[in-house]
Amino acid sequence: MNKFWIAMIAVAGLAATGNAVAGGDATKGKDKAAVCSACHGPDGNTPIAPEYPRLAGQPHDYLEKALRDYKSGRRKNPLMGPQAQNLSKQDIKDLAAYFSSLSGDLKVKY
Amino acid sequence: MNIRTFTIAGLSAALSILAAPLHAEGDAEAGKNKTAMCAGCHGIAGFRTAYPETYRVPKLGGQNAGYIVNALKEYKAGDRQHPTMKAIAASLTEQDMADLAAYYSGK
Repeated sequence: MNKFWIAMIAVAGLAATGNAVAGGDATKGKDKAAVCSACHGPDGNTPIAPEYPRLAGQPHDYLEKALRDYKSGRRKNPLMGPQAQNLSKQDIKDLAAYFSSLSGDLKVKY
Repeated sequence: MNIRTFTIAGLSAALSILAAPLHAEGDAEAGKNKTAMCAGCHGIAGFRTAYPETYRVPKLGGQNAGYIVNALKEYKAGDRQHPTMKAIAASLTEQDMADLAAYYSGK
């Protein structure tokens, strides 16, 4: 029975966070996404060049990982490196939550 | 669009024009037969990496081909670091990369 109540509390907690995904707030992310949209497209699904990735619908934890690695220099890219430098940990979570919440062409393909 | 955004967009466009002719032509049918090493992780919805960090692997279906090729080249070169992806990318030729990109980016 204890497990039941722990689960109920967990569900209530998730519901209370609304559109937050593991600490990220998609609504706030949208407000921070103007610079991203210039290259990745306003919908996160229409990048301006074929070398740029679609972001819409990618798992938020993957997007967070990518931005963290760009920021630390672990992932090297002359465009994304400087962009990620400007982002706080919360910015990264919010942006990841936002782009993950969008739907586009990305899908799991076997 | 502020100045910085405009500059980034312009620079990006210029870089992409320079990069465009460097890609090998990919064959989606050939790529489909080369996915054995990819599908075990990227072919499973919600699959999470186990090492060295835990996060869900990216969706590849519908991704831009040029981006996929660049990602594989970066893993091979060490500009992107993930032990499994590095090992797999190291085993791929540029033609393999182009074929895989054509397959995953296709409808």
